[in-house]
Amino acid sequence: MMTARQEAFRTAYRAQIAALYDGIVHVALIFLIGGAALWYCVQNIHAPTWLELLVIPIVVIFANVFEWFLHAQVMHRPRPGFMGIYKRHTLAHHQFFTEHEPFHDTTKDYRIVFFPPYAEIAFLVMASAMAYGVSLVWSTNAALILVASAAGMYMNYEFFHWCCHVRDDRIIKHIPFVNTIRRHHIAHHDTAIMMSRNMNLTYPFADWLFGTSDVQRGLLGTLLNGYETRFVRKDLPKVRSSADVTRPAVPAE
Amino acid sequence: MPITVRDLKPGIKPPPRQRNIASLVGGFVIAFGCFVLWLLVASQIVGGRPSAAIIAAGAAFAIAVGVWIRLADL
Amino acid sequence: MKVYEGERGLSGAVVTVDGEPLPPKSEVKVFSKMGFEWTYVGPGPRQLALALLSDHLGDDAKALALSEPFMTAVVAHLDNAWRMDGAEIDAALAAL
Ligand SMILES: [Zn+2]
Ligand SMILES: [Zn+2]
Repeated sequence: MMTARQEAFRTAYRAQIAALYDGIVHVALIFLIGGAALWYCVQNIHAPTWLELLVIPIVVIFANVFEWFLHAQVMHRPRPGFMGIYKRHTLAHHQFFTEHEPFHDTTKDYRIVFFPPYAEIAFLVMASAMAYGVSLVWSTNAALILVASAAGMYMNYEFFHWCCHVRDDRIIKHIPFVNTIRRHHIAHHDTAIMMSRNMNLTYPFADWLFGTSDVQRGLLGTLLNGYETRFVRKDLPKVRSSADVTRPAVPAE
Repeated sequence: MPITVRDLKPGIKPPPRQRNIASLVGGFVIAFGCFVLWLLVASQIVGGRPSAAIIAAGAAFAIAVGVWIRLADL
Repeated sequence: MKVYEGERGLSGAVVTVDGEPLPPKSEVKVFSKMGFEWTYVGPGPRQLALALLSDHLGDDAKALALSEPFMTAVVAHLDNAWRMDGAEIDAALAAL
């Protein structure tokens, strides 16, 4: 159920989307860029050692904490130099999608679901800079595995976030991890907790680690929670003084 | 770009659409990124330095993507 | 009685008093250079607490003293779009 405010925001936001915007091209670019980076790196890895392969879980964990940090401290906080990211997320994404109506309608709405593709380039440049350092002190294999894992995590992030905002959940509600993040992220769209809880967008590992998950479970339970609501904390805050009244009923003729 | 419910009272016209500075910078960033990736992938496929035609095609593709990012105001 | 309203939108996190922009009271104290925010504990909400109380009480020193508990009890729980009148602020202050 959508409030009048959310409906008004959606209408206004959609009116601002440029005519030449195309959601499919947007998504294709994200996965072409990520796919090309991943493919190139994998092609050039030769006989990696077990130690070099250990870079994969390290990147997965590092990316998980990075995603948590960026979401909590940049996307949800007005900070000098990063206002564009905050506006796109807190002031737009979270007004377009609420916990009551978290689903997009058309591929035009991908404008507000996915990050702009240049964010992926920025992320890959950061990963490549780190990889360059790794190649100097360790090995080219480790460096390539680092960038490949980073590209994989980025696409993982975009795909999972789409899974949170797509209406049809007939298949994804049965997929482990995907069903977990879907409930986890839709709960995050509740204004009362959006500034402080459920900051992971892939696997709620960092939320578990730093105690910012809305569920109170062990690590495995948190990661594989699915749609389960039995473990949701009872002490979560509620919003007050709301002006976001539900849509008034159509007056009887 | 005031988008609040108060601003949406009937009779008030929505402000004209303004392109975001992010899509301008982003257009250059993505053109650069796409060109580098194109060169890497092409050199991998041909097993060496790609031909001038392939490089030119890559530049055209990268510019097209950059321009689209700006026009689509992403 | 004055009415205070806040709303997050594409133009920012906007706060008004009787429809006019609420002065941030940065001459009293600057908690945040990035404007108002709410629904958490931090510099933006602290600035909003100060600005609301200063406008409502008309006493900057008292507003500054009460801004921290008022932020924690009220501003940290405001909705995306919120509305409060003077009576509601008085009631919240009495409950601190
Ligand atoms: Zn979301
Ligand atoms: Zn968020």
